Amino acid sequence: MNFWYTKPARTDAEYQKMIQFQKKIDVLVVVTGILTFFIVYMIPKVVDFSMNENISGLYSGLGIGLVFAGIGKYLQHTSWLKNEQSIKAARLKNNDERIVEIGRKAYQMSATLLLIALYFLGLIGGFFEPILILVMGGLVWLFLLSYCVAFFIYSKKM
Amino acid sequence: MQNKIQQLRKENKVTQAELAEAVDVTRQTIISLESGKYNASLLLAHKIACYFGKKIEEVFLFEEDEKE
Repeated sequence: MNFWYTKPARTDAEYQKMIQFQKKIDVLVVVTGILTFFIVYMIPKVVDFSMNENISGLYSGLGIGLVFAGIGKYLQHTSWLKNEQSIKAARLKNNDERIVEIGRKAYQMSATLLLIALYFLGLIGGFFEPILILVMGGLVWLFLLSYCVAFFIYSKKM
Repeated sequence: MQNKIQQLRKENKVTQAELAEAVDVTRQTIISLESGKYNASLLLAHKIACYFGKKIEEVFLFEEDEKE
């Protein structure tokens, strides 16, 4: 699913531009992964802070995962750009209006489920860890706020 | 919304893959359109109608309750 473009590409040239932009996002993902990995090792050395080993392993795994995912997507996007047939096949696969519609519906459903899960996790988890209700409540508000801002921006454009 | 895509396709001896290629969608989208599981956008409806040399309303049949 493409989070950056709201309109599907109608031509191969448009899709090539989208992929070129997507490659920059791939690089950003790799950099985020490297930063995540280094933060886990640097923070305990710079500030006097001991990190739980399980959490440290989880963060490292997250960082490495992001690096490999970013590199994989970058290579895939580069190979698409080198071959006209590949770019057309990828455009059809990722920009087909039915697939875009399915993706939008799936995204809408998972966002709703995420909201419900956050609400109940905060509500029930708050009994045991009071910070949870604050964090989960904050995330629900962030979601609703970002929805309102995005709605306002797109209502000006459309 | 019903449509005559399958009927027109058979009349013109066009395969689903050929139609999909011509209107820039996947074959699965043509299958879903023909089975009525998916309604085409205005742009796709226009492309399909143009491909068969018809008007949109000759290919896609809008029902009264959908118009309302």
